[in-house]
Amino acid sequence: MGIVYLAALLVALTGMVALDRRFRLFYGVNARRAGIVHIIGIVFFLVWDLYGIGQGLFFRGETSFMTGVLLGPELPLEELFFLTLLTYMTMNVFGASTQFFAARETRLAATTSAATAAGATSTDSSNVGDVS
Amino acid sequence: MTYLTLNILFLGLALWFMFWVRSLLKTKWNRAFWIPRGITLAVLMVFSIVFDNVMIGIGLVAYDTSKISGIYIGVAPIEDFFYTVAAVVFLPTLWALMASGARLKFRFGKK
Repeated sequence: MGIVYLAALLVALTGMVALDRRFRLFYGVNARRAGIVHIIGIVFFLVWDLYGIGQGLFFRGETSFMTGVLLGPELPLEELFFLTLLTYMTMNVFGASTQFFAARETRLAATTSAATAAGATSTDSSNVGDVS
Repeated sequence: MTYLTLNILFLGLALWFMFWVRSLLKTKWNRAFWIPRGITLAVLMVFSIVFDNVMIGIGLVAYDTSKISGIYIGVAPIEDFFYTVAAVVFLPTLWALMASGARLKFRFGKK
């Protein structure tokens, strides 16, 4: 029984949890809301997978990297962890980019208002400063 | 049914949900909407391309080649990336819907 793939997924998931806790990205924002979004997301992708397997579109390949534990026909245990990782990472990156965007907007707004204030001051005083 | 047909159905469902929530919450299609989602999609696509190519490369998953489009990014069928796009469309929408709470009869989590 190979544990390589499952172990790799668990390492990646641990990283997601660490980043989430450190930067308050997903569960760190609202654990209850995150839990519900996460579970609905995983179920959505599991249903998608099951349809694909049911239609014979894709199937489990080489198993020496996998535990061999199946949740259903052609559906390895690892797929559940993969979907957990995919959804977690999506929301972590979304949390980070939302924070990044908000911080950037705040900074831009501050810069703009500072520039406007500075511009108004120089116009009020004299035109001497404009030469340099 | 081909893999592409299946994916169009599920991605379509996610897109429909996004438009439905948008009209419900009266979300504006502004920079605050697109920029975080755009960044998320770009980052997730890069990771997905690498991850999927490794997975298929070492043979963890296989496809019925008669049911895929035959368009690949490396060794990964283009269809696989619908999962990534759907995740970026669906999950932030669900998050936003729950965060709003206002127009629903019940509120999720703390404000």
